[in-house]
Amino acid sequence: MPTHKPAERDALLQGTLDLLILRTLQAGPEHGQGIARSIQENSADVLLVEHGSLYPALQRLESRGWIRAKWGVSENNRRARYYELTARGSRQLGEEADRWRRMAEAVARILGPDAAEGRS
Amino acid sequence: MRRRRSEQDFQDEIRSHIELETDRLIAEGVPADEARAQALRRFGDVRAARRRYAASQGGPGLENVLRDVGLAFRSVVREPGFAAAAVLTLALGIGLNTAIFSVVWTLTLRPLPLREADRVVTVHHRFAGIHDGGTSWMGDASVGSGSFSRRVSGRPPMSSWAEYLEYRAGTRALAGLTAFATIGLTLDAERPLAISARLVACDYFRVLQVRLPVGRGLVDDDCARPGAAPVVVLSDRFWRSHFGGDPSVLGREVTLNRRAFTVVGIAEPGFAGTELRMPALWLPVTMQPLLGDDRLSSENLSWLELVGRLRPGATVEQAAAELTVVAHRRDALYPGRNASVLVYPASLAAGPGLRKAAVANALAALVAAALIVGIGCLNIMNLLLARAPARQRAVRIRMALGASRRRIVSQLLTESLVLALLGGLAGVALATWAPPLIVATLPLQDLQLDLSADARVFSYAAAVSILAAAVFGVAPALETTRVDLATAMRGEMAAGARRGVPWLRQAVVSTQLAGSLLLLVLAALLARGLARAGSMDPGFAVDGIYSFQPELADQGYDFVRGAAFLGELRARTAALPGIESAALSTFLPLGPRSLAPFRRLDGNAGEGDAERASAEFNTVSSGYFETLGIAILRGRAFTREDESAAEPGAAVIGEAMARRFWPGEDALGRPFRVGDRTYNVVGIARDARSLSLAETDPAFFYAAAHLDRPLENAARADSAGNGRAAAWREPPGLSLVVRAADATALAAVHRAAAGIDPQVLVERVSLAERYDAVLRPARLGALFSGALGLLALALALVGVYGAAAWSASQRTREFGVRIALGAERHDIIRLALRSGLGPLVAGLAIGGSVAVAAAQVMRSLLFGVAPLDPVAFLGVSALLSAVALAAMYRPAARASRVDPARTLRTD
Repeated sequence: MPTHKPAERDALLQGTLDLLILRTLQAGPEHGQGIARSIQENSADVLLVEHGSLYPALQRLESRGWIRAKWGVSENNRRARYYELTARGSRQLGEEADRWRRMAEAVARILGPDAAEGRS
Repeated sequence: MRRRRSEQDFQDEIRSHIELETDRLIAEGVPADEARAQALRRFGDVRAARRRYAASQGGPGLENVLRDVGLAFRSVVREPGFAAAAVLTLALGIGLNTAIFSVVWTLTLRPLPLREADRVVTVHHRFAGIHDGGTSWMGDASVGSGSFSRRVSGRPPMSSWAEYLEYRAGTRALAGLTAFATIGLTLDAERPLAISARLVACDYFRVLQVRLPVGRGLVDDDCARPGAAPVVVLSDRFWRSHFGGDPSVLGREVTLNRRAFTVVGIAEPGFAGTELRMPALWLPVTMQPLLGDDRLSSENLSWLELVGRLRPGATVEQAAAELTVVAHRRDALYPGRNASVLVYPASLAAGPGLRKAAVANALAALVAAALIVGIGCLNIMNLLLARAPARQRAVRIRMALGASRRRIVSQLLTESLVLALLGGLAGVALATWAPPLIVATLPLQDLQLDLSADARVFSYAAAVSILAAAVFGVAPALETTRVDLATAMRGEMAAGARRGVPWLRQAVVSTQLAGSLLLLVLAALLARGLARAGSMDPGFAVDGIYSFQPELADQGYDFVRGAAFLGELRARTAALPGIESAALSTFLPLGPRSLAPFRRLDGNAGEGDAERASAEFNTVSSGYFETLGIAILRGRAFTREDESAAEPGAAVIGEAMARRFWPGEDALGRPFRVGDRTYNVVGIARDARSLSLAETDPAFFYAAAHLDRPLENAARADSAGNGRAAAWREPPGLSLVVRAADATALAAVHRAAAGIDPQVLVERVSLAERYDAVLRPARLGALFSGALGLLALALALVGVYGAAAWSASQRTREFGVRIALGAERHDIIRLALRSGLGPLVAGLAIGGSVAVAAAQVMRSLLFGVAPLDPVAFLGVSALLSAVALAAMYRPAARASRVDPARTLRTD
């Protein structure tokens, strides 16, 4: 049954991608292409996502009321749809970020000895 | 929720993204011609993004609905066989349902085809203690309980002339109140003609706002006093059929029941008043005393229907309250009378009792029709369930790609809805075409029934379609999208785990088998009944037997002149060539008959069940037994002397009656009383089936007809107190019965009647036609249930096959293991068949028990075949089992050929 794999990847990505989008928007309103570029650059090209896969996530966040969007004009005079964080969105970002750090710590603690050995 | 984004808006965003990225890449130094391609590559699959966006949208946005409908049509077209079966099934069911609904709706609630029909109301009585069962009383009857009794000629809720005048004077809520009664008259033309006429109060045309394109309606002066104005208004149809649409008919005279009437007007086309049937003409109600017994002066006689028109702003409640006050004034005149007045919006089923009866019958018919839709829905549901596993794979992929379950369910439901609405549309077409065809085959030409589908009928059909879609669509949609990720990951589907809802599928199959068994058993019973009826001897001759009924009362004949006419007609007919035998009788077999309480007058009177027994009889003259070929077993037939003998009269009783009332004794020569007359048994006749072809008459006798003095009418004697005189005023209720060697002699009989009095209308009835009519319901029933049963069977077989194939596919792995362990092919087949046996047996048991109950109800259509006829029950059950097993065999056989090595590798 190979069909479950995309679902797994989606589930894995969803939480991460949501968090990255919210974090990016904390700096101020941005359009989709800008968000994609920003994630790519801030993660030092580690998280290279297909730009297209960003939009369902944006749609999801928008429908949850964490971000809102309106059409605007970019620096080089292109029409673009700008997203910005809502009050609920920044609260959510705080919670998500906390959870993420707790989890990262937990994972790091489990991996600890190996990682230490690797370093020494 | 936020306003939903349009698809266009999303596409704009993608386009803007590509442009921004292209700009950025160019800025980073990528050559312009390459930048756009790279931007597109980085974006990934644009179309996939769009699809995922749409899938994540969930709810029924307009674009989604349109796309779903498009998808639904595409999938309908992809499987034309399935779609055709589904649509046809639904069309039959919904069509039947809608046809019944349109009849019910037209009869009970639809506004009449009149001007400002919403303000037309009917006015009826309710007398405390008197029940209106919707029965119409042909002659005068007295109904009542306690001290008050009401004379009725029609139905109890109707009114008398005196009451009508009081109501008309005492209402303010009604702008007008009119009255009418329907009667039959004889019109003198070249040949006398029976017509239906309506006696109406003279404000009738005004109150109903009828236009008269030619001439005038009735005016108040026409009703000034009894017999004041012998005038008639013709219906448009009658004017065209009998006067060729000639306007010069105005002022011409027509002769009705031997009285001259002047034509003063012609009503607008299509006008039938508030009734189902259009009369030939209307005449002032005040002419009634000249056409029969005076009813105008009977103040306690129900015979007039009242129809009123509400004043603007007035309500039916106000009218009812006002008129009830008027009714109470009259209560004071009759001890025990307690009347109230009911006012309803006018509809074709007028009167509370009739309306109740119509609604009850209609509901029963609707339930039956709903059952047919239900069986159809189960069929379609089963077909959809059978497709569920095949579709699950695609559905799982879509869900994994981010489509919500709600979204996919709504798409599957759209597909069901499209099927249902297509079926509903075909059904409405069927319902619009079929009823007029059915009505056309009935002998009811002057019926004014507008069955055209209006908005209400369409909404009903749409509602039934949507309901049907819900019934057959929801379970399969849920089943198809029941993707349990955990299970899917472990790949247990292929491992043959019993997932899904097998009980549902089995219940569907059982129900279908039960339904087709029921219909087929009924068809088989009816067919066997018909075969029996065709070959059995009813106990009397059928071919060549005709009765001629002279309408003597319409021509003012009293008893003496009527008896003379009949005697003369019999004599002249008997002498005609081609007439083998002629006699007089009240009835022909297989029609109405007289019924009265029976009492023995010899020694043991009052013993046993004779205490409250009754007997049915026909009053016949000498020669009747010869004419109808009824054998006299003992004693003698009637002679001319019996026709004038004093009481006790002569009686020939049936064998069954002799056995019942004189068990173990010789009935010959014994005296008995039936009603208020006494008889002596002079002969015993062979049992016949003159009441019903289903059984021989239980207690039937023939009374000798008298031509010298009338039979008394008990009901009339009670009510009027002058029954004896009234009986002499009316002609004897006898018809001429002949056996003709061939049909050419019949015209000579009509000529003989015309030779005695050319104005007397003579109606001819053929016993062979009546016999045929008695068999018609059974014939239609057999045809109908047989056809439906075969359809149900065909669909059930599809269901059985589908269930078997599904169950076998679920067990492929198990079978593979068994074969690997050495099971033989026939072992596997037996194993696969066994799982289908449960639903089959359950279906047969359920269908069989319902059929047993249904067969009891239609006993009278079986013509003596036992309702539990083993040939029908066992034969149909065996047939059904055989074909069902055959349908299961193929999937079972295929399952037995699985390659064990391959099934074990599947994972």
